[in-house]
Amino acid sequence: MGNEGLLNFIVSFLATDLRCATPILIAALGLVFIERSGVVNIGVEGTMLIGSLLGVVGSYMFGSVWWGVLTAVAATALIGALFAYFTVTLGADQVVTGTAINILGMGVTTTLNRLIFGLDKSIPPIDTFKVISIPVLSKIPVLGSVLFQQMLPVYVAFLLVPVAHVVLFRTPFGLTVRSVGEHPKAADTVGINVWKIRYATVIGGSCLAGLAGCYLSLGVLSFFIENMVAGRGFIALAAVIFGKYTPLGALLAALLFGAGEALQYRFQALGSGIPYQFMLMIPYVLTVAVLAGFVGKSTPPASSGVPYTKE
Amino acid sequence: MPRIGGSIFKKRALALGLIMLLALVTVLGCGGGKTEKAETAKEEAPAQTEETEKPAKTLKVALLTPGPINDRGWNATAYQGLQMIKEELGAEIAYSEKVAPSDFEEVFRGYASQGFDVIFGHGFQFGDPAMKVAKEFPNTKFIITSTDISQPPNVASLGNSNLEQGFVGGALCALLTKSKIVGSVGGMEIPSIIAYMDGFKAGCKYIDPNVKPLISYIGNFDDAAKGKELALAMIQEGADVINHDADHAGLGVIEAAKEKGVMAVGAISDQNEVAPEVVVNSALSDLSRAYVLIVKDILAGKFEAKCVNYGIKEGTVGLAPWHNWEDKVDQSIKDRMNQLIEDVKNGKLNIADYVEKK
Repeated sequence: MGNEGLLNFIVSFLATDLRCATPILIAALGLVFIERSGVVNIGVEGTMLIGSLLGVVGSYMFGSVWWGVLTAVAATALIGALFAYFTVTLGADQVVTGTAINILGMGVTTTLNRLIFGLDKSIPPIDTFKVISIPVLSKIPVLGSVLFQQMLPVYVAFLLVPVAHVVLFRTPFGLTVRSVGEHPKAADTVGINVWKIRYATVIGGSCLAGLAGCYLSLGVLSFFIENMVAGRGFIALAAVIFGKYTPLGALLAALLFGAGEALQYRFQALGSGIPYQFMLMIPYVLTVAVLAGFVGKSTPPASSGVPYTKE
Repeated sequence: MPRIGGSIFKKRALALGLIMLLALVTVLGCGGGKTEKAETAKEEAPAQTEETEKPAKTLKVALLTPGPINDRGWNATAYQGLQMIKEELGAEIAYSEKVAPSDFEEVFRGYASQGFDVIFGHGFQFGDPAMKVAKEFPNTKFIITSTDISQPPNVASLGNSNLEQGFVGGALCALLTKSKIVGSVGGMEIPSIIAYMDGFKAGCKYIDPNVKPLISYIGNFDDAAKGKELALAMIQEGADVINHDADHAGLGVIEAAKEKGVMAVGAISDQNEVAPEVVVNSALSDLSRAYVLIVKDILAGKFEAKCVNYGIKEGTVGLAPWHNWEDKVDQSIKDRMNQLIEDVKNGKLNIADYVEKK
C-alpha cells in the first residue's frame, strides 16, 4: 500500500465510521435524556423501525424527504407518548412496555409496508437525503472529505452532541431532568412536575429515535425492508450505558462501535482468511474492551426504571 | 389513603388491559410465526386462501419460510411457487413466514393436525424438525428445500444447486470486470450460501484465473445497511462488479453499486427491476416451478420419499433476461454465458473441477 493508498484507506475508514455511528448516536442522544429522567426505554429499537418505515412512506406520498422526516418524527412522537402513558401515567413495568413497543414496531411496520407497497418486486423511487458539501471546509485535505461531505443527519447528529451536553448540564431544564431521575420525590416537593418532565424526555427522545430510523431508510439506503434497524436501537442503549449517561460518552461509544464496524468491513474485503464470525465480533469486543478498560463503572440515575407515584 | 390506593389499582388494571390489547394488535399485525397466525392470515386476506368449489377433496398445501415473503429473493420464490400451486392446481394454501427455528416443530404440527396434505419447509434448517414431526403424521407429505434429506414414507426434499447458481454469478462477474476484482456479499455462513460462494469462486476461476473474488458475510439477512457498507468496502478495494447472496439484505449491496456507479449481478430472482441502471443480470435460483411439479406428482400418486435435485439442467438455475442491458453488454459475453450453460447441460463442463479443494 503506497502513501496514497494508505491515505485513501484512512479517508474511507473514517467516513464509514461516521456513517455507522450516526444512527446509533442520534438514538443514543435521545436515550440519554430519557434515562436521565429515570425512564428505561428498551423500546427504542421498535421506535426506530417505525421511523424508518414512516420516513419512506412520507417521502413516497408527499414527494419530499422533509415530509418523510416530518411523518417519521410525528409517528415516533406518538409512540413515545404511548410509551410514556403506560410507564409514567399508569406506572407499568418499563421493560415489559419497551418489549411490547419493539414487538409492535416489528408487526406494524411489516403490515403497513405490505399494505402500502405490496409484494411488488420493484422499489418505488423516493426522495432521499443528499450529500451536502460544506463550502471551503470540504476542501481541507483528508478531513474535509470525511467531515464535511456528509448527509444532513450526520451533521445534525454531531452538532447535537454539544447542544445536548449544554442543555443537560448547564441549563435549569437539564438540572430538572437530572433531579427527576435521581430523586423524583425531592423534585416533586420543590414543585417540579415529575410526570411532565418524563413525558417530555420520552417523547423528545422517541422523536430522535425516529430521526435515526429515517437516516437508515432515507440516508444510508433508499427503501424500507422489514427489521432493517437490525439491533442498532439496542446498541444505542449500550452506548448510553457505556457512555456513563452523558452525551459526550455516547458520542465516544458510538464512534468506537462505528470504527469496529468499519474495520471489520475492510478486513473482510481484504480476505484475511480469519473466520468472518470473528470479524463480526470486532465492534462489540472493541467497544466492551475499551469502555470496560478505560471508562470504569457506569452508574445509572438512582430512580432508573422506577415509576413515580405520589403517595 | 384508600381513595388514591383505589385509583392506583384501577390504573394498574387499565395498564394491564391496554398491554393485552397492544399484544393482541401485535399478534394480528405480525405477518407470521405461529400456527394461529395462519388462520389470522386467512381472515385478513381472503385472496390468499380460496375455497375452490370442486366436489373432490381440495388439496391443502402449507409453506413455512425462514424470512419475509417480500424479500425479492429466496423466500419470495417459495411464495411464488405456492401461488402457482393455488392457481394451476386449485389447492387451498396457507403460509407462515419468518418462522423462528424454535417454532419449526410446532408450526409443522399445527398445519399437519389441521389436515394439510403437503407442507413445504423452505430451507435446509427445516430438515430435522420435519423428519421428527413426519413420524407423527404419516398422511402428510413434508417437502424440504435446499437439502438432500429423505425419510420414507413421507419426507422428501428439493435440492437446488447453489453451487451452479454461484458458478453462473461468478462467471458473469468475471466476464464483466475490467479491474479483475469482483465481490460477493453473503448473508450467513450456512451450507447453501457456502456452496454458492464456492461456486462463485469456481465461476471466476473458470473464466479467468487472474480474477480475484472477494467474499464477505453480513451475519444475517435483514441488515441491508451493513450489506451496503460491506459492498462499499469491496469497491474501495477495487472491485468493479458486485454480487450478493443475502436475500433482503442484498438490496443494500445493489444500493452500494448504484451509489458508486459499478455494475451489480443480482441473485435468486430477476433483480433488474430493483435498479435497472446497475443490475446487469441475475444468477437465478427459482424453485417455484419445482414446487408445482412435485405437488403434481403427489396428485398423480407418484410421490416418492427421495431427494430430487434441480439445477442448470432442469432450468431452475440460470440467467434472467438481459432487459435494458441487451445492447449494452458485449455479444461475446452473452455468447460465453449461453455456451457455459449449454456445456453444463450436456455434461461438457464439470463445475466440481473448478471448486477449490478444502
